[in-house]
Formats: sequence, structure tokens, C-alpha cells
Amino acid sequence: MSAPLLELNGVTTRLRTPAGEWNVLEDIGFVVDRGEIVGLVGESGSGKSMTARTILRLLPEGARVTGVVALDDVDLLTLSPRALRATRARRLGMIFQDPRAHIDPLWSIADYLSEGLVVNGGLGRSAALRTALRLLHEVGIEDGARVLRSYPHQLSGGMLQRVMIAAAIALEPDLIIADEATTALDVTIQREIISIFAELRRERGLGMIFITHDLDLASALCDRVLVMYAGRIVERQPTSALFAEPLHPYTSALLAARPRIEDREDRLPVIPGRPVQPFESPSGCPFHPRCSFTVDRCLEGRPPLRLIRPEGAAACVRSEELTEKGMLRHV
Amino acid sequence: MSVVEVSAPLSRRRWLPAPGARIAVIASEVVIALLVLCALIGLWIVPHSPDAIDLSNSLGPIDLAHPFGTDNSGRDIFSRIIVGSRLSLLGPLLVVVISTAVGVPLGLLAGYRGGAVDAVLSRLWDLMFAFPPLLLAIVIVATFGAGFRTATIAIGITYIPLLARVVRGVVLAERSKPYVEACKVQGFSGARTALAHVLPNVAPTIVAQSTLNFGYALLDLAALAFLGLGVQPPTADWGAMLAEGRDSFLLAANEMVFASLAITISVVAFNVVGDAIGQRFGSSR
Repeated sequence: MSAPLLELNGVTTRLRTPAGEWNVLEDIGFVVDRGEIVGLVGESGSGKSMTARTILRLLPEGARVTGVVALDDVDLLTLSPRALRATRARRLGMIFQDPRAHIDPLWSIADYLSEGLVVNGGLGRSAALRTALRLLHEVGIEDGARVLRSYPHQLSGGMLQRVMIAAAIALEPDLIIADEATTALDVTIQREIISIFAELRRERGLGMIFITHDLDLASALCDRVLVMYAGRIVERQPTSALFAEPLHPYTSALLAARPRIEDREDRLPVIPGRPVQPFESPSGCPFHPRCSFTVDRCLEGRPPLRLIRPEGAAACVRSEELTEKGMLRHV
Repeated sequence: MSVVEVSAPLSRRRWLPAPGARIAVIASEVVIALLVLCALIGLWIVPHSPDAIDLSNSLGPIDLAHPFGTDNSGRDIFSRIIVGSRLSLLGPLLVVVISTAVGVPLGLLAGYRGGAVDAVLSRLWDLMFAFPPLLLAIVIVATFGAGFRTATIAIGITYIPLLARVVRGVVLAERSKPYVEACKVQGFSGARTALAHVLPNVAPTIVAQSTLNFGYALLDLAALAFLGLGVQPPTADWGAMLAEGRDSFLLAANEMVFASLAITISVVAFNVVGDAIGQRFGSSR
């Protein structure tokens, strides 16, 4: 088997702020293959976006990263600034949550889309415009000519998000990172964007990291899902298995806390307490204060992410026991 | 953030202040337009030649032939004020050009690059700020000789840090905007991002500050001329006229009064317009 497209190994990210120094990511490891969509889910502050930023090296000044982030065996963490720019330009694409803030308001869509094609792709102006039109078509924009003439403030959020996706795939990157790319959009648009992603994967075979806090969204799109808590990966499973039988109590609690249309309960089940930042996480399992299955063993050291099944891993000392008893399966 | 869509005409309405302030802005714009007109064609429309001496009518009173009276040498003050607008506006214009040409790139560099570059440049203009600009200009003029050209260059140099500091500030704020980060992700160089994206987005602030600086420069250049370090008599210039009028101030205050009025009205007009531009774009971001 060939090497995976992206491989993270033992990645720890440490931020330095005036208030002090702490880890925002601890011992992150996962792979993304070509043509695979990997979901990254978790509550706010769990480290999803920091993982994306670590891969792209978009961290604030003073951040320190240890470990390996390999894109086709090239460690992104040790690239020279020049090589990093080239890699960002041609091999990586990023789709942000808020397209309106992430597109220069003074540039027309034609200029915005052709900038990358001309500067990084070496196309001429007219070839770039033709490509831009084709890209817009590919992301489901029918009246591309009108959109090209528009400025960001003249377009809706959903339209702009498509434009940003078009810009991200313009130079046929190998890996796309979508950070809450659909969160700011309404549900119908959300579904369209999801289907665009699914199609891009099918047609272009690119790898994708799909970051969301919406488990249902992740299940609709992703092949595998990584669940993050307090800067660590606590569970890794193929999507269907994760939903059918989670291996970590946190995942189980997240699944139980989703609103469902079938049963009209007055109150949603909630996870007690609040999500913790990595720097304030208690000793032992970081989830133990909020977990309904905590025993003394949970307080003894950080549980490592370990294989429970051939394709499923969890960072919980009681995973096998709880799974066997069926206590993590949600109804 | 993306929830509220503010349409362009609405945001334009929002910046406009109370009706009184609006009148002030419009009046100032009219004043500036008239000044520019005077500077361009004044020489051909004035009733008297600004340099025509008539010693028999020295320090003449205000009458129909001489609406502002005459000066010590019998020259028509009205004509001299009109024609004087040429150098009095050309000077500040050159000051703005010099300070923009040097100050904007320096401010952009300091604000966008940050770090050591920013530290060095910022200390540099802190150092220049330690001297009052006029004093600094006097030193430069005293070294290189008085005259319009030296005075303009001197004031231009002292205005560089004034603009550079403002540009650095807005670039610093602009640099943290998400679209700049998106440029990084797309692999664009820092120079490209700074020049093609950040600079156009901070341009309104540069225009506003330069308009304000125009007014201040007019004042400073007049001060230099008054001290005998700028435009030299007998050339018609408001600052030089102040200096000349001082000698006969107790006999006939006309020349000083009208030259002062010309300077004051112009400076106020440029200030009001500069503020209005600043507010117009300041509130929309």
C-alpha cells in the first residue's frame, strides 16, 4: 500500500501568550488517504481548528509544534518559508467558516478567482477567467458570468462560500481542509455544499478534512470520524461504526445530546459541566469529571488512544468493558 | 458578522452627521474648490498685477479699486492674496506628495512585517517626534538655505513619520483580518498581500490623513515664510505677506488681517474635509 496522503504523528502544539504557555493539542495522530473525507468533531475549544492551523502552519507567533505532519512523506513542519508557500499554493486548500470575512471586499469575484490562477498557476488573464467560469460551474453556480462581475457584498453567504470553494480547488490541491465550512449557512444551502464536497471527492479524488461540531453533518459526508476533546483525539472510527457503537463515553454522550425529530422530548439530554481547555484539563482522563462511568482507574494518568477494534480506537480505559455491556450504545 | 447585510446607500447615509456639520463639510469643499481655481487661473483674473508697485498709494484704504486695500509698496492686497494661493497651495501639495511617497511604504513595511523591522522604524520616527516639526524644519532650512524649495522639502521630511505612524497603525489592524490569512493560505507572498490587498483597504485612511496634513503643512509653511525661512518677498505668498505686513501693522492692519484670514479659512476647510473623509470610512469598517 502506498503512503497516506497526510499523516500526523505525535503532534503537540504549544502556544505562548502573555498569560502563560500551554498545549492546545496533545499527541495528535491520524492519517488521511486520497479520496477520503475525514471528519473532525468536538465541542468548541476541543482543538479542531488548531489541528487545521497546525497542518497549514497558520499558528500565532510564538507557537511551538513537535511531531510530524507529513504530506506525501514531506514534513510540512520543517519546510522553508518558500517551500511552504509553494505547498500552500498548489497542494493545500482551505475553506473557512465565514467567506465574507475571508475574501478581500475590494476585489471582484473575477479578480479574486483569477489571482491564484495567474500568480500560482501561471495562467494568462483570459485563460484564468475561462477556468474561473468552469470552476464556478463545478461548484453549482449557473450564472457564472454574472457572479464573476460581482463584488463580495453583492453576493449571498451561500454563493460566496461556493466562490471560496472554487478558489480552494482552483489549482487542484491534494488536500482540502474545510473548517466549519457550512456552519454559517442555512440548512438547504448546507446540504448543497455537502453534495459539492462529495462530488469533488468522487471526481477529483482529493483528500479532505471536514471540521464540524455537527455530528449529523459529519455522518452525511465523512468516511471516518475523529472525535476530539480537550486537545486530544478520544475516538477514531469509521462513520457508521461510530454512530452504531461508539467506543468512548464522550462520543456516546454527544450522540445522545443531538436533537431528534422522532421523539419530541421536552428536554435534550446534556453533558454535565462544560468543555475544558487542554490547559485546565484535570489529571487522569480529561473527560472524567463529566463522564457518567468514571471509576478510580480513570484518575490514573491520561488514557492513550488505543485500538479497541481493527478499525476503531478510543482513549478510554473502560472502553471494552462498557462496549460489551452495551452501555455506550445510544437509543 | 455575516448576519446583518448593510446595503451601500444605507451605510452612506449613516456616516453623514447632523445637518449643521453637513453644511460645514459642503462649505469647506466649496472653499477648497475656489482655492484651487484661484491657484490655477488667479494670475489672469486679478484686477491688478500682484507685483505692480504704486508708492503714491502706500497703505491705501479699502475702496472699490482695492477691495482689501494696498500694502506698504502700494501693491493691491486682494490680487496678492489671490495669486498667493498658488505657492500657498503648491507647498502643502508637495509636502503631502513627499510624505506619502516615503511615509506610506515605510508604514506599510513596519505594520505588515512587524517584529524587528517595526521596532527599528518605530523608534526612528519616535526619535523624529521628539523634536517639534517646525523646529526640525527650521534646522533643515537653516542648514540648506531659506527658500520655497528647501522649506517644502524640510516640512515634507518632518511629515513623513506623521503619516508613516498612522499607516502602520491601520495596517496592523488590517493585517489581522481574515482575508489576509486567506491570502497566506493561498500561498501569496507577503509583498503581494501587502500591496495588492492591504494597501487598497487602508487607502481611505491615507487620503483622510493626507488631507489633514495638507492643512497643517499650509500652516507650517506659512510660519516658515513668516520667519523669513520660506518663500521670500517680494513673491506673493500668504506667509510672506504676514511677515511684510507686520512692519506696518500698527498703521494699517489690512495685509496681516487678510493674509491671516486666507490661511485660517484654508486650514479649517482642509481639516473639516479631512475629518469627514476619515469619518466616512472610519465608521464603515
